[in-house]
Amino acid sequence: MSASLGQPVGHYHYNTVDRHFLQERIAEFEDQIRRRLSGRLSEDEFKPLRLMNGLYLQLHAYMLRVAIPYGILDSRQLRKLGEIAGRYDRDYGHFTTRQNIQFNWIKLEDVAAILRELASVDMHAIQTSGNCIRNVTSDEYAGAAREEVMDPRIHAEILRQWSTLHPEFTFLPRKFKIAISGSPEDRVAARFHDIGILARPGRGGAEGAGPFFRIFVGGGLGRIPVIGQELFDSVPEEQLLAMMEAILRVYNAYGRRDNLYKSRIKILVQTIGIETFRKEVEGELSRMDPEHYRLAPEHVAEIRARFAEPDFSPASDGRAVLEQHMAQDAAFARWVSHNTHAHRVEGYIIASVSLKPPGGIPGDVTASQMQRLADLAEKYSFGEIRVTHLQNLVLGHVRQEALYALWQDLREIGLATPNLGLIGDIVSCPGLDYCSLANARSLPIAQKLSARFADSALQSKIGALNINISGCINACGHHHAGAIGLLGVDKHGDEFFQILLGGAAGDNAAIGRILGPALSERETVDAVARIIDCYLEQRQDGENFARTVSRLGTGLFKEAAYATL
Amino acid sequence: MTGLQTEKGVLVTANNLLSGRIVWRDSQGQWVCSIAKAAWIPDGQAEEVLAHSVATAGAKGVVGVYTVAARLVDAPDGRKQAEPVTMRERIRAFGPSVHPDFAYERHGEKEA
Repeated sequence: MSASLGQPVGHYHYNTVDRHFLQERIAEFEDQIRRRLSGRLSEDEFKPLRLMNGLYLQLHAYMLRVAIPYGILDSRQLRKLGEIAGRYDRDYGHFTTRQNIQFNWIKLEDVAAILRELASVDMHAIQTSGNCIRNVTSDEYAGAAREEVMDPRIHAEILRQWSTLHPEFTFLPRKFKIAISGSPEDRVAARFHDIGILARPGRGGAEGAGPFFRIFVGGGLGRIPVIGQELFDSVPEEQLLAMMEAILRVYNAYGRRDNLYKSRIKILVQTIGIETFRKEVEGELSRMDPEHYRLAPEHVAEIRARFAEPDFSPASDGRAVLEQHMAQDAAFARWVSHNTHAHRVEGYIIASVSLKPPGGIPGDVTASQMQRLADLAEKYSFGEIRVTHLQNLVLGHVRQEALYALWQDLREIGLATPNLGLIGDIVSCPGLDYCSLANARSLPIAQKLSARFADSALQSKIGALNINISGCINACGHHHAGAIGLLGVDKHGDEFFQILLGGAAGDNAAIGRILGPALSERETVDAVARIIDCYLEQRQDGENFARTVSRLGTGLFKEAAYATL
Repeated sequence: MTGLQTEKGVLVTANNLLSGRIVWRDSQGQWVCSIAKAAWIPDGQAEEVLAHSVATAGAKGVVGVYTVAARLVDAPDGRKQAEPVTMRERIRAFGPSVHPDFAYERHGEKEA
């Protein structure tokens, strides 16, 4: 499907069946709300229903979590999110670590209207909460990156459709999260998901033309962080859905329902072991009708046909113009060096928009910024914009010669911070300021660290380093996977932070190690600064923070962190 | 604010079912939006008041009723005022620390 036919680029294009489904779902939930308000449904009965429609009752108000399937939006959708933020919330939204957006000040009486507005642009909040399969996340550079081996979006969409209202998996022991990537390096933290999928194309010939999928299972963060284990290394495309069914059936059958803290699939896999788990899955597969669950190439093609492709028309001198702009403007050059990625089409480039301005709140975007970003997506990237699981945005298809103009436009709305992947690119959960589960506030310390390391030159000097902050052990800020992780804890009513070092989310997934006793907020900020100083003193040529910590261990950094205490 | 803790007790709080807004039980057993009007309940009476509040929650259009540990402090105007003890409940009562302008009363939202 070509974008020239007027279809949105980047994500699956809804048909009448999809839209009818959304309307039915809204009508159903509206009726459930009516029955709750009349008292015919108790809160205990209503709660699981509203969670399945993405609606929490949080610290201040209802919170609505809107799904952004595999993180891809078109400009009309982003505009609509901006309208909703302005009309129903406090003029802003928060992008999460699962490629969703949250609105924190919602009223139950407005929810049906909000869902109708979302449906008008083919969006919804279905299964963004509850004990079901959640939003399938994917690589933010999907379908655009030069080094990508396979575009994962088609299969992400297939998984989304397969998992939506699945009759067998609507009341799982606990939430279930799937991520899929098609890049040579794992950009989706696959090994920290309940199911992580790494896709690669088939080689054709005797092996067949279809892609293969490497399946990891039983990963997760939270109270008990676990790195997922490989279940199968080469599942052919035709068996992908059967495999998903089998895994979920084993989990649904044997996952614990008696203990909330032991109910994720990671606990089941740890308890029975990966070999036994694999045997159980194979047993399920052997009892399934393979033809019924076969993912036929024709079906994949049907889904693929509903993805519009950009009409690329690169300029012949795009690179030369870009280089000229970089030579003329050092600030622009710095932004390009950190915030862009090579595109598969010569003459185009991928541009990342950091939502981490100095001293800002990670992942927050105002309603007016959303409107403006929608304009920029239309102007520069075929109307497509992506949300990353690191709480940033991506314009996936920007002409190289237009990049300077884009950057200038981003500067006007305060979103041109050149810190992608650097110490200022902090990932943080909403924490105690918003979340009823939290023990400590994560946002103020994120702001203080961001301000402390605001200087662009210093950030470039420090190099690649991710700080992840969680306000409680549920780890929505992914603190276990941060090169520096911070976990907020409550000690006798006061906020303290544990510091972890050495976490990583990619191919070399690692769980951060606690450095020492928890510190106050002020002490933590100073300790992080001393850790960075120690790194800058100790690093060898070409070594980033993660490598230095790996080489030296955490001892020196612990000494530095606690030096003045 | 200066003041001395003179007595321990609780406030009873909930969310308005329709709006989600934080509400507080007043001395008449009604649910009000302003914490300044919340009824101070000495510890010894808390259980009974809570039980009654939970039992009547549905009829009064509130959900998630619970007690908040609070202390009475002397307000600058000489009145006694109750404030939550924990940071969590203070954030809930007075708004997010990173967005104090988002708090209901500062945002200009009227009584539910």
